[in-house]
Amino acid sequence: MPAGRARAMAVAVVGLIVLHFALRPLLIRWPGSPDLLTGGLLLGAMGLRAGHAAVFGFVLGLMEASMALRDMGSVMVVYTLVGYAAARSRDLLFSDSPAFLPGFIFLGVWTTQLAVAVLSSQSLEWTFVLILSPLSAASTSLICWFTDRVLV
Amino acid sequence: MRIEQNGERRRGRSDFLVLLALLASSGIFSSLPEPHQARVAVALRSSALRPFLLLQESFVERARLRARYERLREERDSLVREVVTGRMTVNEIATLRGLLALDRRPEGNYVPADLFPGRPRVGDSDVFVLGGRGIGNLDPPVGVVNGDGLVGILRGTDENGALGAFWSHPDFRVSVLAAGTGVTGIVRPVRSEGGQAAMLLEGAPYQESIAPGIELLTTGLAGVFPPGIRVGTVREESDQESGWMRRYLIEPAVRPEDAAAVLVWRRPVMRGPHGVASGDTAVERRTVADSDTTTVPDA
Repeated sequence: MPAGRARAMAVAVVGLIVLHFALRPLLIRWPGSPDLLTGGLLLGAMGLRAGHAAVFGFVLGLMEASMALRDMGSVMVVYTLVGYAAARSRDLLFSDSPAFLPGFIFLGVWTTQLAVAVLSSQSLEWTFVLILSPLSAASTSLICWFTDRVLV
Repeated sequence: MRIEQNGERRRGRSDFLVLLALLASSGIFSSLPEPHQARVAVALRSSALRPFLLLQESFVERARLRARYERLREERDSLVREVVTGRMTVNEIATLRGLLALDRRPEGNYVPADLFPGRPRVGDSDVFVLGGRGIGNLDPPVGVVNGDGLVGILRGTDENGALGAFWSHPDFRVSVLAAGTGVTGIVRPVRSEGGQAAMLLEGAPYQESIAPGIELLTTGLAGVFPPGIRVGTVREESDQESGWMRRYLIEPAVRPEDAAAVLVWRRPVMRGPHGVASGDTAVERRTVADSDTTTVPDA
């Protein structure tokens, strides 16, 4: 990745993370609201080595768990794994197709939300699994695609 | 080429070791007792996450203020509606009274005052002291109200202020009318099992029942309280036996702890048949006191 684009991507990722924490009370009111933290993690992990991406995920997981004050260990595990897996799968799946990034983010966000729900021993309702979480993943992938295409 | 592949493999291995280390850290972290986990979270919340928390607090505060503003606006709108309706009614009544050649009915006015509970006897939650301009000139006993309804009664005044009692005082009685039903009775305070003061309506006729939610308004029968002031709403019928009368538990319109700024009724001065000013004179007070055996009469 060229240095200029990498810098722009870093700024965009930090922006998404800051927005996630800043707008959290507003975002959680809407069902299917974008998960900017996971989007930022996935975007950031795509430009990092797997080990660094895992550290990045670990730190974000710790911050997210500290804000929510619950299920700290499980959230950290999920974000660490997501960071690592995103960086590794980029090597395996990378494609120039314009549909790659939205699809990658969509699957990543959906999987992350399901994993957090399972590891936090929340009761999984079908509306969450089949409607709310995919809706959130779709809105996140749209924002990340926009960020990647227009801003970066 | 082979060197590059080896380097790549080494990097992959070290990344995997980093992952394992982080997962182990997460596992150890989640196995810590909750107070230790909370200590880490609190440290983060008071440092790196502090600006976000402040921002979130400002959002929440803003939403709360917005909701409060909306509520106040609705309240103001409903008050405006009531004032407009009331003004029309007052005008109609004035017109009708004019046609009947009757003077305008005197209604008195109100003196604003600050209420200080638990004074002058500290520890007595049923009494209060009033302070404010013009309070010393009032003639007790007279009703004390606020925007929500009846607060209590003014019992005595001097140049420094006035003494009064909340409706929760054991001697308190007030004559009431159930709105829209024509049923009357006397309200007195009772103590619930938890020790909190509540109201009991007594003397309601047996053949008529009052539905829960009906408002009770003062009748103003003895001239101590202005008529039409909210006293409370009917909660349910009391299961205590009271002969051929019904009793009801009443939800008070005003809790003593919620009263801070109040209005004291200044009853209208009227001329009696022999030119004696009634309502504010010692003659009137003596008459009221003689007519009732309770300490604070209004029935």
